[in-house]
Amino acid sequence: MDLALQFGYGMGQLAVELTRRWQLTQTILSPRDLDDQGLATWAQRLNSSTGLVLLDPQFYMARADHERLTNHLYWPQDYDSDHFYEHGGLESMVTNLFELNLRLETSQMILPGTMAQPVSDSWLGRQRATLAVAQRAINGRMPLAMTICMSAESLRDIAQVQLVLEQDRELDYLTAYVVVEHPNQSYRVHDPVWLANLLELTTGLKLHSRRVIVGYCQHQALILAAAAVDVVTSGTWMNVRSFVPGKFVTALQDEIAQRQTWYFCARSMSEYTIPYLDIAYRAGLLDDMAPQAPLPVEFAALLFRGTLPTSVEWGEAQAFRHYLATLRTMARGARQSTFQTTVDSHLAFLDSAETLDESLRRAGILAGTRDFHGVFDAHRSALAIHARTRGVILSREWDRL
Amino acid sequence: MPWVARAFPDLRDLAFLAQGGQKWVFTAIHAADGEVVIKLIKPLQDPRRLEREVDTLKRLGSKRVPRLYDTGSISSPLGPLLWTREALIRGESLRAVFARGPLGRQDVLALGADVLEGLQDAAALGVVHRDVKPENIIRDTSGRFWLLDFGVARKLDLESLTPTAAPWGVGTLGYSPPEQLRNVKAKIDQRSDLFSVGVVLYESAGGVNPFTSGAVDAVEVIRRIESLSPPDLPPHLSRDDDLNEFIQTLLQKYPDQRPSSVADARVWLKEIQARGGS
Repeated sequence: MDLALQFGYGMGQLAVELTRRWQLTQTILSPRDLDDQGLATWAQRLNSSTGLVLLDPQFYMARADHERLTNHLYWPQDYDSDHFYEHGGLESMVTNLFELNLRLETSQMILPGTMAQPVSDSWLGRQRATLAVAQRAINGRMPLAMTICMSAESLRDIAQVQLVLEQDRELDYLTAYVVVEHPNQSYRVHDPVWLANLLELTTGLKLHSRRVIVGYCQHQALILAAAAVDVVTSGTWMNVRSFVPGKFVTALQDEIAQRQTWYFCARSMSEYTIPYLDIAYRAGLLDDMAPQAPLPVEFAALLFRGTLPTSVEWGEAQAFRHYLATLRTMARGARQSTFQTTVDSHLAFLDSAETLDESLRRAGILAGTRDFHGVFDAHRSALAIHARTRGVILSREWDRL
Repeated sequence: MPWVARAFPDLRDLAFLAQGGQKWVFTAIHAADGEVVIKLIKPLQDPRRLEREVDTLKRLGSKRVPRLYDTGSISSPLGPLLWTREALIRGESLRAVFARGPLGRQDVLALGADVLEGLQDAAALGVVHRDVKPENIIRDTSGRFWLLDFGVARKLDLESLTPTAAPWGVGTLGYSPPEQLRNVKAKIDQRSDLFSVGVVLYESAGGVNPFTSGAVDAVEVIRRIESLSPPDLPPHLSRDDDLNEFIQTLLQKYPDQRPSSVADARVWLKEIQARGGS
């Protein structure tokens, strides 16, 4: 499983830097955050840095009113679902998107897809129509990726997940770009059913021989190695580490208003603001929170040089580099040679992280809204459900996935 | 029914065998075909179902489905009746076999292999059997298993004969998968038969039907099929992981969670057989 960069607010330079460092890394560009010129500029810079560029059309909310997003040429000016899907609107959008993808030299074209809330016959029909129109219009000139976007409530309903999979079985395309809303739009997901159903959805897609990219992820996505997911994507701010539908409707400034610097402690799976690292320093626990090889150590090294962490200059840019580099290394190591060893490895990691998390919490080193406490069991439960329903087939098919 | 014998002058030793909801069944000896089964379709049955069954059987050519020799219509006191003449398989129904207790592991595997072979041949024609159950399987005197009765089979590229608005589909409660019970036609395909095979194999290994055993009524059976996780095989068999996992996977509630085709299931079962054990 690899990590791709989910482009977000002010992320261009970092994406280029990481792409140069990592080579052949995919970045998914965000029309919400970039105008036409911005898309062209960053696509060119990423491509020339040996990156692979994708464009997320972000058509999740067809009636969005986000000015920058809706100003793109491909965005329909007047969206009426009947007219759009039956009288040429979709064809026009797909054609314009294809031309934009050509200009940006993307490696494949992500098709527009609205958020299912719920998965209805009409939503399924729109998905089919989008693929059919794209296949006709593009005629094999670029590989296609289907957007499969589901609301939190839809994903929680296994019957709706199965409706998606039943239809998917009949379709012909290369890549599934899965985007799912978190329950209650929270950053962390405590809901084992939601997690289990995401595993179910992605497993089904993989067994249909799709290449699966899961968008807008934070580190809980490491569990998706147990579904043989190919790529998870993440970025800098919280709103590209979880899918927040509202941000595509109108412009939000939360990424600016709520700025704080968080240190991601991979060993406890939690993120801490820097003052809590001072508490760890005083309690003699800071070394337990330091990254250890094979995880990258260089971006957070300043925090662990034997002084109070708040006394060093360690800002959000370093925090983002550290988070993404760490997540990338973890993602690339998450999949093991068999399904069972992949699950066992994740469970062992959870056990070890929970032990550290508890000892840190006892010492008053708290991660607040980014604490993995309460999430550990959700992962264990989801994996148990997943192993029971899909484990046997995944074990059989693992090598081909 | 002496008129039956008169209607088939080319048969001798005609003997009544059984009757079901849709047909009377006789055994006889045919001058050219040897031991045969004659099925007389009762009046008021939808003739299109028989036509489709006949069409399926004519083209099937499976080694695990009795051969269809001929079909026709006779006059009778009840009016015109459709008939078929098929090869007679000497043996007993799986239901009768079950009455003596569960099968051993090798027999369970052989049962699965034979039934899946018949279903794979049907699937190659786009046909879903839709009524795999012990009553429709015969073990012959040499121990091989035969799949019978394509009377409610569905040819997927033809219009369904079951009304779309019908709340319940055709099949047998306790053996039909959730999508068939609920008549969700778009979801009924060869994976539906795999669920039924899973029930039959579970019953053959464990001695009870996991959904009907102990259920107080049909509602409870439906609830079990639609809401319960696939049951483990009884404890004395659950250590047999290969077979247990195979049956569990066939019994998954959602088609996408089962093997993707009868052919895939058959390959899997062959691998279990090849690994041996007893």
